[in-house]
Amino acid sequence: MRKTVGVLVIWCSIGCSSPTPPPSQPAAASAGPVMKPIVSVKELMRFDIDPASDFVFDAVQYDATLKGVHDIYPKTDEDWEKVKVGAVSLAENIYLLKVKRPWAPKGDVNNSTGPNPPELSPDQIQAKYDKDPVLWDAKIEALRNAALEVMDVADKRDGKALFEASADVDNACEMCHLEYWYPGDRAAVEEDARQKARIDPSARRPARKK
Amino acid sequence: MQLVIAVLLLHHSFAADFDITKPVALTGAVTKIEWSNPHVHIYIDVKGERWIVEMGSPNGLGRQGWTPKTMKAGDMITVAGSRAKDGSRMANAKTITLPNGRRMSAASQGNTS
Repeated sequence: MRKTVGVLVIWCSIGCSSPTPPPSQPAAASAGPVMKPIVSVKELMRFDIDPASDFVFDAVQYDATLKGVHDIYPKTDEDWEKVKVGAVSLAENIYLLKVKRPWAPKGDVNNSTGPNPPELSPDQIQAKYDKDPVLWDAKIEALRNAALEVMDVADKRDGKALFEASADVDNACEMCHLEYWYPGDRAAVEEDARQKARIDPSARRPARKK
Repeated sequence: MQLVIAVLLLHHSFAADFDITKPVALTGAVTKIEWSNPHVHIYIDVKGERWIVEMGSPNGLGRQGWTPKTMKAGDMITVAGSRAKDGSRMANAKTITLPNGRRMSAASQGNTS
């Protein structure tokens, strides 16, 4: 009898103590949902990412008119809420670019024709992606980080920091666009970045006669 | 007008919206300056016509020596740049000559001298 009780105790200690998963536990991350894209990259940028960025860009501005000068920055809770909406949308939705989808709608070749095409065609973008897919992810992470910075600024209600944070968002956008959208503009942008306070001297002194 | 607004709001390539083969030289009074990301815009009155002029980003302009107060409303300036492809009264500035004669780069991509 004592032996039977002992066996029951052992059986119960195994069977009764096994952890029960919490009912609200989500499925394992590795078995996440299959993401099925609806629109192309071009459309996602136009209808989702770009409008989200406007919540950030439009929130902070220096305006000068004949009537006076205005520093525009978020003041009310509602103003800051809009900034947060933009930042969260950017930070979360930019990951939708990790979901394989067409670069542009079917038949849309971008402005990639003509003697000096300003934009890469979808096929050219695909070739760049295939050559270095890690770079694509890095560009996505760069914008996500900039958006996280804006989220932090919004939480702190730091109007002064918002302008710089919005510039960081702009820079992250631009660095990706210069890689995958309009790399032809890169040389001019890099030249601009290299130079400091470039003032055309010919405007102030007459040209030398040869 | 709709396209002008779209160009103002969206990130875009220079060559997609402006035609470097259509140079413009505009002299007029500044009526408004919008110093914001991703592009700074100024509005100028050229003989009764309102033109919208796109410049580079605030940070890009800062590297060229600009501050938000380099220009002020009412200043007579001269813009050299490229006209919008759609023929609207919008231009991308290459340089801007200030009332004191200083000519400064407008830090616009694709239009850098």
